[in-house]
Amino acid sequence: MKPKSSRLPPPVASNSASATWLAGGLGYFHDLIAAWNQFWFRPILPHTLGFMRVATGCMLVYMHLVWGSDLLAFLGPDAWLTGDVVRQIHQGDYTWSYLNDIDSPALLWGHHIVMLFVAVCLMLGLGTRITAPLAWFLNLMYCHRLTGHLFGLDQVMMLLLMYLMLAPCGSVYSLDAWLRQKRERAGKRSTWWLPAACPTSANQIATRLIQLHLCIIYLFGGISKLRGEMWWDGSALWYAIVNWEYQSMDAVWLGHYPTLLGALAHITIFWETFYCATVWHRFTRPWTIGLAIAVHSGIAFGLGMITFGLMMIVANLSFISPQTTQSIFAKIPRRFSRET
Amino acid sequence: MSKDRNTTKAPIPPDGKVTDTAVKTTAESLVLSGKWRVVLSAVLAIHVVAVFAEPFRFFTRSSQRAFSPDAGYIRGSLSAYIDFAYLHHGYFFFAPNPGPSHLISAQIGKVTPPSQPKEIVLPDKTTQWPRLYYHRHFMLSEFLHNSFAPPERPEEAAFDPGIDQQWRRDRELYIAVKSSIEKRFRVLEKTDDVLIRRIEHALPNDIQVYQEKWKLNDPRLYIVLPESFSEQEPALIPVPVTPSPNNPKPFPWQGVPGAEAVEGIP
Repeated sequence: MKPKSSRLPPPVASNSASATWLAGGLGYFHDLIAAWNQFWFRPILPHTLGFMRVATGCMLVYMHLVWGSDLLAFLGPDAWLTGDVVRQIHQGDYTWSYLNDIDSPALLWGHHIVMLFVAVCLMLGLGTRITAPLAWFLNLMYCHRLTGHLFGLDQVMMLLLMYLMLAPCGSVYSLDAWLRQKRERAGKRSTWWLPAACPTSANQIATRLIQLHLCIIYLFGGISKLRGEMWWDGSALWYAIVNWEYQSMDAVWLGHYPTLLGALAHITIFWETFYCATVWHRFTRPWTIGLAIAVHSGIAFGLGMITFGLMMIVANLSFISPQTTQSIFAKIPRRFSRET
Repeated sequence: MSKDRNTTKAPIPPDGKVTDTAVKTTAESLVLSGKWRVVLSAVLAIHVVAVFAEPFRFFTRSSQRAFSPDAGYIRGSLSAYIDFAYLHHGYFFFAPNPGPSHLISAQIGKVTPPSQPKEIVLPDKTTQWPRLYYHRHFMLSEFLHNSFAPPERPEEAAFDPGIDQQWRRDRELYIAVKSSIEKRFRVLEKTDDVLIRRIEHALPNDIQVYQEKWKLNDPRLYIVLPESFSEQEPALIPVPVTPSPNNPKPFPWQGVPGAEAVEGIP
């Protein structure tokens, strides 16, 4: 055994170890900041967001056509839930909508026509620097007024509208893009109103926010099911498909295959709970997104929530790279022109 | 946001035709400056916490506590933003277990035997189209059910003013929601005689469906929910109702006794 004193590192070596430790620590934080910046701010193309804008705009138009089919029953002075009742429901919170105070049918109709116009503009990609935030704000006012009639569709629509407005989502697949190209051909200078389809950090921020929001939705959707025994004993899907009010396609025959129903229930809870982890890795991502499409298609066609199912699939497309979206849509006109 | 000075704008093709690819190659990338990144990082972090806060608080509920103090603190600190930005959702889809549906049955007109009063149900798959329109009414009937607060004051309210205040607020809210829906029916049907009832549509098990051959809308699955604890137990099997000119297709729960509205706060 060596004498005790010889086991102590020399003073120089001690300083060197501390310096190494410090350098390692600093290096870690340096890498962390670099990774953070890369995650949030790396400029990316807008093509996936552009496609999502078209889909969200289409759904927004449809949603407001449906509200409009019985507008006064939802918003009028004798609505199912009047403005006074909605104010009472939200007493003490920060939910507010000017629609609670409008009783005039003419004003409500005028406002609704504006809402529809903005939704159509968003869908077509016209004036998106203005119409995208306006669509978010107007739809938010409807959501705050229409408490009691809302469900998952409204949540996912608000999610998409909120994040799409942060990015130049109208720079592709839009009338704005067509107008911009027309200006460029005429040799005119570019303008802020007609954003260029170039990589920007805003596109990345919007995409990341959609992705993270989805992860939080699925995480709590998954762990909340862990509390229910039906998801564990495999009977949850049976009780979902025999719900007469939800049912849009008769799938009661699936009850003859309890093993399959049990397996589907278990796949659902594992997929939903671990979505926030598996969706980020390139090897597990296709399976995670594939399962999302399968689950939401089932909800869309089996449980009568086609609108909600479709929009959840659209939100999942945020994990598709803009280059992939760009190449898919670049092929379509080529193939179409070859066939014609 | 500042333009990246290292990038250059590619020339427009000689034919003047700017294709999508050409636009991409111009790569007029907008890169954020360091100062903007710091500010935006803080804003983004707060926003992500706000998205997380509501389902987190919702998940910490238990039979002992409304929510965990830490979850309540985070949610409370960001309340204004969460509420206004429509981020106050628990995301408990079909959880913890898939449950029964709840309907609204409106009895229109007086009961004058032998004729039966007209009955309207919300939601109604047969008349409400498109599906989204039907679903909006389905959510309304679920909302009425979720708003229910019994007329009886909880026993704990005698010792805890907070519970008493909460119960009074819930009860007032339920009455307001119910009255608003009744008012809508009165306007639609042009009568003052409207009584709405909450109906629960229970889910059948596989034995009932396969062996006993129950349909998913079997009358035995409909339960009229009581408006008060003092009422009799929910009637499981309704009394058959004969179709009348006023009511050619009676709903399964018609003829069920009870479910008179008991309103008002003592």
